[in-house]
Amino acid sequence: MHTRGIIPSMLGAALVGWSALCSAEEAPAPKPPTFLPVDFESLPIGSLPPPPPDAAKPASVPKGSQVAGLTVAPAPEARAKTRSMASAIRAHKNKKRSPRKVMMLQVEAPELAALYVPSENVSEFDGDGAQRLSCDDRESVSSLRWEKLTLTPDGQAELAIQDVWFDSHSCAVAPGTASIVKLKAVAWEGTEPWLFAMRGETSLTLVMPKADDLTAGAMVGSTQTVRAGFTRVTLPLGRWGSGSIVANVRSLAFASPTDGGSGPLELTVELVQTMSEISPTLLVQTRSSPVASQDVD
Amino acid sequence: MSLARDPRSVVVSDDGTRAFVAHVVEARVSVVDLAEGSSTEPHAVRQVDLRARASMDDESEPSLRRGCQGFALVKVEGGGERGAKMVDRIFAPMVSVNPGDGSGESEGYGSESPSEVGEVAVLDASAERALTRLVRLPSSGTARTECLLPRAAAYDDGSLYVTCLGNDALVKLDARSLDPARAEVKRWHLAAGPVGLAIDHEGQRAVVWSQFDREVAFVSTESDAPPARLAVARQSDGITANVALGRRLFHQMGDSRISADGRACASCHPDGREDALTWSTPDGVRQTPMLAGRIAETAPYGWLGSSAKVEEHLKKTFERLGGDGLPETELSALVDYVTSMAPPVERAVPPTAERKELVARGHVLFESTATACSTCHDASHSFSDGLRHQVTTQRNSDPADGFDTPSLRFVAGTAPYFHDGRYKTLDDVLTAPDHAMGQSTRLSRQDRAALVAYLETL
Repeated sequence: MHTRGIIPSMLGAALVGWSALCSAEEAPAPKPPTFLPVDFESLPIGSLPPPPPDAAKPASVPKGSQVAGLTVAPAPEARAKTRSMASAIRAHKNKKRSPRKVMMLQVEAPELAALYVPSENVSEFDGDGAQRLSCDDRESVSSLRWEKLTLTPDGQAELAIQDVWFDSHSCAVAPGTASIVKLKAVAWEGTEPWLFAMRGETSLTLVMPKADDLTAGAMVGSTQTVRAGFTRVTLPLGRWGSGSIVANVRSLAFASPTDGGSGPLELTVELVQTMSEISPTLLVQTRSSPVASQDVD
Repeated sequence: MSLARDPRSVVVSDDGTRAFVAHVVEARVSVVDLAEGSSTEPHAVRQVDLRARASMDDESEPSLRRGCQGFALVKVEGGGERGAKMVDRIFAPMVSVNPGDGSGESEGYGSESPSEVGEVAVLDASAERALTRLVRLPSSGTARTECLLPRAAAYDDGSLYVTCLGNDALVKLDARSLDPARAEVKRWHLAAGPVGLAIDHEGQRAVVWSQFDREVAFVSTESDAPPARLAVARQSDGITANVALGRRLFHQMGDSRISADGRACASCHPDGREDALTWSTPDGVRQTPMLAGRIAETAPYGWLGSSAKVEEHLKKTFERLGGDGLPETELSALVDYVTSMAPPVERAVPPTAERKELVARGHVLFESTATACSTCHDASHSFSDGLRHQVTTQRNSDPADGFDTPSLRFVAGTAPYFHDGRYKTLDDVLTAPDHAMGQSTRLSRQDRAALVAYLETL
């Protein structure tokens, strides 16, 4: 190798080394794991209402009916596509037969809301703050559930559950039953709570910021998960048994998915009760998440 | 009373009516009714299945992981402030294993990496059921520091203490967790070979016996004070320095010379025996062979008999495990240790006249031309002929010229059987029509029972 080639090579190697050193120095030290026992009996008692029964369904919703905080507007136009002649003819025929509009139901403050179609038979709901629904000639009323999380000034939280009826014929919405449950803060980042819980006769409900890679399971019964602006998980509770939740929480701040708090953290919630124990033990663990090293979308 | 193989630890329920027994292999705990039974009537024995899954999405039987290293067992005792609400919990430190799906060859041992995960199964003593149903696999690329050779455990006020052979550590775990292995609170590094543990509740300390270094450590559980150490005379161990070095190497975790994924020899050969597992390996599906008492006079080594010497076979094993290999001096020490391993104690079978007669009848059958057992399993050469035989295989990956005849020493305690572990019991081997080994399928039920009785004495 020529001398003039050695120096840039050495310089390059030094820069690579320096760069590696800088990266090592800049990398935040992983947080030590935390183990937070939660006194199960101190949790507020409450339960989430079941989906509204068919018997409660109205025959129709009057045109112009509204639900406070919920807007119904035409969905943004889908991007124009090149269509084949056959599909163009098909679309034309459909248009003649049934004028169909795609509408967007949008809740206020979607970052703290979940809007989804409730069902007894489904355990996982992906409910953003908006739902696309069709308005057409058919007489069809369907139900939607709107969960709205409010962080209260006392450091606790409330979860409002508003059922909504949507009539595709009138293209309008009407309020159904509504209820509010109280949640207790059980984990904090500094002074800011980021994990809330409530217990029922047969369930434990936890609410946390948006979570990825969520796995929840229990020995008896099935879990229910709602993923939207926040994440809610309800674990079934028997007289004895166990249940757990494992999730990656990218940010420990609600309504700030990318820059709040000091996440990401791997969260583990474990509920254990033997037949001889009066109440379950509830343990919340956090540790630096493996997703910390990955790109955040 | 007879129990499932390799019982190691026992705890008795608070009311004294049941004993819970840990087994080294097969991820299970036996429950023995102490209130019933007598010296003549058998006690009722039930099994608690500790197998868990790595995913909640798949509830099929094959998704259940296997288990090993079930040496210790401990129960909640004494209340205390942190553990006040816990009643009737039993903790079973173990290792959750995925040895592969048995379908054929794999890149390493098992079909996922890592194939072994430290776990502490939590049992409900009243329900006699495992509460831990899910094990969490460590993220790829993370350093493996978990306890993969747990040996002793103790409980104190909401905390679980486990000694980790191979890591030479004592770990303090949060006992409230559903899998306390994932809730490590604190770790102390101790002298080599920690296998004994007691808790001094009043003194707030753990007392740990490290067998290899022959040292007792007094560990303050509530302060950061360094452990006080008390050396015990080394000369009384009864083994040479070379064997002692080999023993340490055999149990060494995280040694990249031995394996790429950190597992030790003792991971698959607990106490020098075998893990009762059939692994997917680079050579195909292979049942783990027993080592203790089976090395001398059984050359060549390996299922294919491809190594004339133990050293050679160990080198190949390290290679298959992705290890870099040991230098000659340490390899020699390891050979000395595996060769010197104490064989299992003889199975405690009541020596009744009827039993003796059955065994004698079995011996005759074993040596007879009718069964042709002794044609290959030569009693004068540790029940092997050192040759390969085609005994009918089931997989394309198996070699056409068959497998090396394994020794039958202690065969009763080494289920499952055959190179691919296809038979669960000795009786299954003798009755199965799908192999070409011996002629035992023609035996009557009584003769088969006699032959099994004889095999149980080897």
